[in-house]
Amino acid sequence: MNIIKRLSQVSTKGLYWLLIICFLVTAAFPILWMVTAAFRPNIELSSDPFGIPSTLTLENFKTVFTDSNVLTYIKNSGIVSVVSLIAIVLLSSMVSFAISKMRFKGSKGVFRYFLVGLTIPQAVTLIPLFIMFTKLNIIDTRLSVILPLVAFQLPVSILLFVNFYRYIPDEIIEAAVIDGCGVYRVFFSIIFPLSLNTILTVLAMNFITVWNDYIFSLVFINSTALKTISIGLQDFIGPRGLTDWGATFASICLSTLPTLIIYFGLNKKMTAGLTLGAVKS
Amino acid sequence: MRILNNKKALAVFIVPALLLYTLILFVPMAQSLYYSLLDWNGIGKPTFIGLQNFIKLFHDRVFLIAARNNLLYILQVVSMQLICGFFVAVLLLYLKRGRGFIQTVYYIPSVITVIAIAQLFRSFYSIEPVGLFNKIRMLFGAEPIAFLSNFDTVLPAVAAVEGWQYIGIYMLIFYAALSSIPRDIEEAARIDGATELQLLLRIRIPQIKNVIGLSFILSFVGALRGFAAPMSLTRGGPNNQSEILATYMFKKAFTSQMLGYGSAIALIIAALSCVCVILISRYADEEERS
Repeated sequence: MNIIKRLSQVSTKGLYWLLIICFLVTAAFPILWMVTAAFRPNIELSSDPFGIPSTLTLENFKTVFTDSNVLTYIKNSGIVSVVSLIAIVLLSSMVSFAISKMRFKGSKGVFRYFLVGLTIPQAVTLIPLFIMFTKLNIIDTRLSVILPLVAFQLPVSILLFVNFYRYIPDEIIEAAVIDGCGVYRVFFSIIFPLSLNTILTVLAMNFITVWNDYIFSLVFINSTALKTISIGLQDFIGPRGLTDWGATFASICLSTLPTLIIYFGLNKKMTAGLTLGAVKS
Repeated sequence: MRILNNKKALAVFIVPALLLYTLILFVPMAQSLYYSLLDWNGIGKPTFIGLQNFIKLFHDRVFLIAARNNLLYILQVVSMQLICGFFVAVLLLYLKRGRGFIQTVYYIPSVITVIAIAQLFRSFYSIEPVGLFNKIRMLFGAEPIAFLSNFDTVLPAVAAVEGWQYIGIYMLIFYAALSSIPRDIEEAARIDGATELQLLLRIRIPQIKNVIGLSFILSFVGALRGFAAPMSLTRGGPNNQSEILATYMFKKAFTSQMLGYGSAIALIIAALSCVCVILISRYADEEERS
C-alpha cells in the first residue's frame, strides 16, 4: 500500500514539473530564439533557421543601422509616445480627480461614459477619422496618430486613477482648503504628487500600447520620415515574401528594448495595475 | 468645501478630455452611421443610397466569410488566453520557489508589438526553409504543410499569434485572484478531506468567478480589436480564408476606396462591441453593489 501511495506521489510530482517546464518552454523559447536569430547569419536563417546556431554575428545590426530607416522609425515612435503619455497622464488624472473628489451631478455618468470606450474597437473609427483628419489637414502628421492614441487610452487610465483617488481620504483635501488652497493647488500640489505610484502604473501600461501602435500609423501615416516602428518592421519583406530575416529580427530586438526596459524597471507597478480588479473583488 | 463645487474648475478638469474623447470615439461612430448610407469613393460627390450597402453586405460572400472567421477568431483567442492563463496560474499556486521568474517570463510577450510576434510566428510556420512547427510535424512522420496558405490551417494559425502572446496577462490576473482567497477557507476544505481537484472546482473557481467574468470581457474586447496579426501575416488571404471584419473593412475603405461600404462593415463591428458594453456595465453595477 505504502509503496503504491509513494509511487503515485512521485509520479504526480513528476507530472507537475513536466507541465511547469512545458509551459515555461512554450513561453520562453520563442523569445529566446528571436533574440538569437538577430545575431545569426542570414544564410543560416534562410536555410535552417531551427537548427543549432553555428556562428553569431553583428552583421544584421550593421544592415539595420546603415541600410534601413529603423532608427528613424524608433525616433518617431519615441516622439509619439512621449507626447501621448504626457497628454494621457494629465488629462486622465484631471478627469479622475473631478469624478472622484469634486461634487457634481452626473459624476457617475461621466465615469460610465468613459468606461464605454474600453470596448470600442479602433477599426470602427478609422474611416471617419481619416476623413476628419484630411479635412483638418493633419493627415500624415504625428498629430494624426497622437490624438487617437490619447483618446483611446483615456478609459483605462481613468479607471486606474479613479480607483486610486477613491482611497485618498477627504480630510487631506479639507485640511488643505482650510490652509487656504484653491482647487487647482489641491490637485497639482497635493493629489497629483500623492499619486506617483499610480502615475507610474499608468505610464508603464500606456507606454507599451502607445509604442506598439500599428493601426493608426498604418492608416494615417504615409511618409517614411514619420512612420513608427510597428510599420517599419515590415520593411524587410521584399516582393513575393522574400524576407531579410536577420535584419527583421535585429530590428525587432532594437524596437523591443525600450518596452523591456520599462517592463523590467516597473514590473511591480505594471502588475499592480493589471491585477487591481482581481485582488479587490 | 465650496471649492469642490467650483463650476469653472470642474470645466477645466473635465472638458478637455471629454472633448477629445468624444471627438475621436463617438463622433466617428455617429458619422459612420451616416456614411454607411452613402455610395462614396471619398473624392467625388457622395450619393445617398439608403440601406443599399447593408443589403449588399448580406449578399456579399466575402463579408459572410469574414463574419464567420471573426467569431472563430475571437473564440480561439479567448479560449487560448483564458484556459492556458488559468491553468498556469493554478500550477503556480503549488510552486514554492521561482514563481516570480515564471511570471516575468510569461509576461514578456505581452510587451512586444504584435507585428514582431507575427513575424516570429511567420518563421515558425514557414515551410521553406523548414520552420519549427514543420520540424515538429516531421519528427512525428507527418508531411510538412504551408500553415499560412493552407485553407484549413490559416485562420487558427493567425489567431494563435494573439492567443499565445497575451496568455501572461490572464495568468497574472488569475494568479492574483487565486492567491488572495483567504487561506482558512482552503484549509477547512482540506481538513474535511477535499481533494485538490474538488478544492479547485468547489472553492477556488466559485471564489474568483467575478474575476473570471472580468477576464472574459477583457479578453473578448482584445480579440475583437484584433487586426494587426491577420493584416501583417496574410492580409486576409489566401482566398479570404483568414479575413476578419476589420481587415475586410480596411481593404474596402482604403484599398478599394468604398468608404460607404466600409462604414457599413464598421457598424457591424460596432454592433459586436455593444455586447461588450452591456457586459461591462453589468460588471460595473455589480461592483457598485458590493
